[in-house]
Amino acid sequence: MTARLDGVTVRYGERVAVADIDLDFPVGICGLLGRNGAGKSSILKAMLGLVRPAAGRVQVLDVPADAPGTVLRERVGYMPERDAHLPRASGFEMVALLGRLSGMPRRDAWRRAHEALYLVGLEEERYRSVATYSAGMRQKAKLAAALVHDPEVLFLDEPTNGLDPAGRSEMLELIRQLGKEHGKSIVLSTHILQDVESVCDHVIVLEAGRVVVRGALADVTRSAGQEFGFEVAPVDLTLPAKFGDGVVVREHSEGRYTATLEPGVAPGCVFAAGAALGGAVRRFGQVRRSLESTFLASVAGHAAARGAAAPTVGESLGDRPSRQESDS
Amino acid sequence: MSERLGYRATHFTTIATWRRWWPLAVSEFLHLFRSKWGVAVFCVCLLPFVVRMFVLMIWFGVVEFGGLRSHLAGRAEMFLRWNPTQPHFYVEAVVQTFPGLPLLVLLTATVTAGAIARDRTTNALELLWTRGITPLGYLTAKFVGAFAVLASVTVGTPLVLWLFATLVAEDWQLLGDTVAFLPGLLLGLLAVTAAWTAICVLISSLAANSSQAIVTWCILMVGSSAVANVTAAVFRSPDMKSWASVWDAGAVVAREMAGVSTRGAPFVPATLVLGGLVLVLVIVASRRLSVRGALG
Repeated sequence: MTARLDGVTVRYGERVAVADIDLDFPVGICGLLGRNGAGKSSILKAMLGLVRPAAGRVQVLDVPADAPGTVLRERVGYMPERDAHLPRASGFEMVALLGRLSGMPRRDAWRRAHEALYLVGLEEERYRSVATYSAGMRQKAKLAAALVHDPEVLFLDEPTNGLDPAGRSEMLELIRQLGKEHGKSIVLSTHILQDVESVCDHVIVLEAGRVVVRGALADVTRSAGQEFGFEVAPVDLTLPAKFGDGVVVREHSEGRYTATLEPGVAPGCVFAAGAALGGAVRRFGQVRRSLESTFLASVAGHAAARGAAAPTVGESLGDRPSRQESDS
Repeated sequence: MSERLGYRATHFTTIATWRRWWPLAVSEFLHLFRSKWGVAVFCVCLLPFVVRMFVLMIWFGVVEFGGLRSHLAGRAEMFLRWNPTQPHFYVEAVVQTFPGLPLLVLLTATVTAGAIARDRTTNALELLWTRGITPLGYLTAKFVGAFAVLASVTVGTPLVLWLFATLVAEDWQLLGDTVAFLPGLLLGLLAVTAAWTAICVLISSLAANSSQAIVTWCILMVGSSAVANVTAAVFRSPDMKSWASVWDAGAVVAREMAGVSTRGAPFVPATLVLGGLVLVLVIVASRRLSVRGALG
């Protein structure tokens, strides 16, 4: 387990940013998803010991987040969301200095700073002042700084902010590589669903300081009910909209259908219905929802329970295009 | 990006936590010299030193300057501040009302006022707090780095002058004359530099940005002098002028510790003013310079 939160509440004055949540962050790449103000950064800061929870207990790598000294921080790398750099320092100086502040001897910090900057693609720019870097280059410099002391766990807060498509793709590939090939546990806080879909093994969806969805990405995107997609042959075979007890069928296009089965209804009835009409059912499989639809459904459900307005697609995705549900 | 060089694990022997502020202090020391403006201010602040070095060369006959040597030697008592056998020569280079003190105020503002404020502006504090450096360690690093720059002018230059004077003097008489007051002189300058650096660093920790810190520092120096003058007039206590302002209190402490007579200037009240101000600022800054404060 990378980190564990037990009954954690984080307050900023009267405002409750995180409300009494219990969370386990499994080993691997875990996406922390939510709208702006959902509590993602507060959770990261609580795990880093930067914010003291009003209630509850936070442990990272089995060490309390508020442990005195630097026991935990030496094992954790953090990439903040906000633009952050050391004034008048070059990329190399910044990364090397942060390495030394993490406890590295000078020679190791220098060598490692060069390596980290090469890794993120800033080798040509490493002696330039960070203040003159573009937004994307600063993101890369922050990632290099998070990696310089070879931490066991990485907390990345909106790492693809300000990156162009190529830079974003490279950043995600690097995160994936760090997680999958080098065994780093990574907590990726973002509001970009596609980032989570492309690199994460697990996802935690937050809304208004509460967890609304959690689990392995494959499980979360699996349809909650028994929803199946299939094709019929011949394609002009027409299935009734309802048949049997608790089977609802929708036709998407010629010969392609979706069947929603109530609990307890066996999928075999769909095959039987096809056969009874003189045709056959093919390519029968459970519908897998996109993360976007999962996110929207769960957040809308939570908002409805609170009596608040549900998010729109634009709200949930920022500037990303919406995606269609896909059949598996 | 990842195709260029693969990620490699690294192993190193971790250095002790209490030693980690040192790299930050070194970085703070070098910060002034990373900009042309900083180097220019530093060079301007060396002007009193350059002038005194020139006077030394005239005094010991290294250069001739139209009989100025005999003129100075003949009226040594009159020109104490130009006599290398007197502490005035060394201490006034730093604390004389013009140009020593204004230059020192300028240098302090340039070196120190932005020390913490600029880190707040660039969100560097958020990076630093996650590196295992405590606010106290951070404050120590900023203080030591800035103090080293200022002390190189306020303490380093009188020391270099003294060494130069000792080496170019015709005999060892100068060494005998000056060695008695030298420790007190250096300690006094160190104390004043430390107090001013601490005040300015703490102001920087309270300010939102460098400009605000510089303005506050200048207002404190000039304003406290004006307040001291008014207060002295109101209470009919002329002494108050020389200890109730941060500016004059520093000069009083440095002169007194160097053994330079200041006509009975109140050393204790001046020390209390400087020490008290540092203490108050430490208490205020300890609340402001918190981890939570850095996160906004």
